[in-house]
Amino acid sequence: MFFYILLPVSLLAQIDLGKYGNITGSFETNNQLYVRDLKTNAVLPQDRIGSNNYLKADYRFQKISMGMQYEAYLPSIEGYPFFLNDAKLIQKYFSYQDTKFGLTVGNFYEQFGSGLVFRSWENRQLGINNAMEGINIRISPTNNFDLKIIYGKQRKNFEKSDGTIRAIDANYQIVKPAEMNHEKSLSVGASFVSRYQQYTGPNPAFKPTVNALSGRVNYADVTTNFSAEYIIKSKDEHTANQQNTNTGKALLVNYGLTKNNVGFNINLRRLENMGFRTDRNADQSLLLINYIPALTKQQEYYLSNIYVYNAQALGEIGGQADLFFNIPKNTKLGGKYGMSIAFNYARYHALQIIAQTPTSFESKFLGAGKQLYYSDINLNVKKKHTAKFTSSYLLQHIYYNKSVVEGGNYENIKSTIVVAEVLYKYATKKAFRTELQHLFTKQDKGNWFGILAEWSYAPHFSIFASDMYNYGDENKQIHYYNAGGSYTTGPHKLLVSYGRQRAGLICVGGVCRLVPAATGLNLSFTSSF
Amino acid sequence: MNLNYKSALLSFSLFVSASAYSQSLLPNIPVVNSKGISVPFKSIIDTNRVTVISFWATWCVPCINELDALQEKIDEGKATSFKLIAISTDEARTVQKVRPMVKSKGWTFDIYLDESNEIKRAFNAINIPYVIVISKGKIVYQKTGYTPGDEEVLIEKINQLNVSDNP
Repeated sequence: MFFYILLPVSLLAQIDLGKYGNITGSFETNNQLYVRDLKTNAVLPQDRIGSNNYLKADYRFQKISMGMQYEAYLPSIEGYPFFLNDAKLIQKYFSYQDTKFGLTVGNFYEQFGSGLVFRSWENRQLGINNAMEGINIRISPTNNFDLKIIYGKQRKNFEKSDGTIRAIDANYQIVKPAEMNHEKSLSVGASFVSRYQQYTGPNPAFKPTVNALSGRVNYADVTTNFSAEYIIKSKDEHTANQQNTNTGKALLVNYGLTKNNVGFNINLRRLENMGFRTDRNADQSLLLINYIPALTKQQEYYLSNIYVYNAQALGEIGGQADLFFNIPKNTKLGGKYGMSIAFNYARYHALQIIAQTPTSFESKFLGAGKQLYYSDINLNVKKKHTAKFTSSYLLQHIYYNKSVVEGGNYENIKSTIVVAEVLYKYATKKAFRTELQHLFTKQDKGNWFGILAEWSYAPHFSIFASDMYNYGDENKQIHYYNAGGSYTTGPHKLLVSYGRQRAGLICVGGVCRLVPAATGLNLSFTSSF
Repeated sequence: MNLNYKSALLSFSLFVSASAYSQSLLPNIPVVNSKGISVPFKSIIDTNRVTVISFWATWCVPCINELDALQEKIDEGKATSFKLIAISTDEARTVQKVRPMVKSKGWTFDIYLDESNEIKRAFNAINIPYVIVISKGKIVYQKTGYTPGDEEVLIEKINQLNVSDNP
């Protein structure tokens, strides 16, 4: 039934309606065929197929738009935060947008400030979609002032949350630059977010409403930028925070400086009981009201994504610093094309606890506890040597408190990772790329070796093969191999691969979920129209 | 109907049906410049030139490779007149890295921010990098992903559009 609906819809979406507007959209399907794998002891699901499918379509006519999203899990891919074997037209909206006024009814996404007090978003890889269903009003009575008012429930898989959100956000531009590259800008903003969920428990003093209030300031000029945001949240006992009764507090500060070919940025963040959900019984990645990503470097190499930090909403303090600079071209070190260097350092500690009970604690606001949760230091270098030959390098050292990040009782992990990547563009549209990676550690599964080889013929073809091998594990050494290819034409891409996935954390944009070991065939297709 | 057959037939039919582009009008939503000021999306498009929009992020290596390659083409004067706009889809985790990275790279094209990914959703850019070419207010070409050499294809497309617009 799903297929027979999709085919005519996708054909219809190809038509431009001329003066009556247009229809655009996208289609995405991700499929896995699982096979038995005695090496990793991957559990074979009862239905050996996992299939996540999304069809989105939007109609636009001048200031009006409306749309829908149809999703089918036939059933959902292994490791997803929920299991579904169903299909549904799950999201729909109607919207009117003008320069001074906007109204959306139905499903929508929104963010206040950095998202630390409110963010609704979608990430299909993680299985997160906390879209609001309700009403979203945007008002801009002057060029300097913007107001957002939202009301509704969050999406929970194919249902709605038990709790209701009411929220308002205001932003005032105190100083507005006349041109983008000159003068200063200064703005202040504030948000109020309230969540109501009926309470039917035995405690008469329990408050069913949780409120959060935030204030922020943003400044930027030609060389400098500064921002700060502070949030305070009322008592919010729920499953994910082990019924902690602390008032929630968060502080995020950012400072950046740019001059000539050098850029520097530092951000600092303190979190105290900042987990915020529309259902006090939800956990993992379900029904999140706010967005608390790990403020660490997002890594692109396989072995760099084994020990990845997950932000501790109950309590953490720390930050990261980045330094980017370019050695100019036509210099001795830079060569003909120049060389780019990026340095990053991140460090997160427990809060400095002064006193503690089973459901609360008192802590020093700017103090760092002795327990180190995570630190890493990264050095990336990229140099184009000739018109055909480019090389990149990574040196990374990590301290990873596995017990805190993944839960359980483990020894802390110290590891060093080195990566060398070479790109050889031997013809105008043909290239060969290879990566060699090595992870050194005496803990956990010991040393790893990784290799990737990829050949591409622009704009349509690429094929790849890769392997990650934990040869240093005393108990079991496993090759996590993967091979496949893709065909791309314009906005459409087909990807087929076969391989073995290790159990562990998969993190996208600083938010993580645990995935089980799995082996099999993967097929994905994405199309935009 | 057997599920395997259903999925295969679905994928095949959509692959065949998705071979044409829709000449689409532009969405009426705001985009944020690097100073944090919100401006109408249509105001950043140069109606007198072909405009190329690249969705990217500071953590996306193929995205940065593509923008580096396009900057080289601009420096070499390989393309006839076009405007390049890079819209960063960096979220709260990495958005603060945009300015220092761009400054160190010395990119000469305009940078905008789409932290809430509203623009990315409106253009149905499922994965990044994602490139859109706009001519006379309409989308005339879209491309997902980047492999070395894609910039050559893009420049060829831009030059063809400029020739057809100015015969």
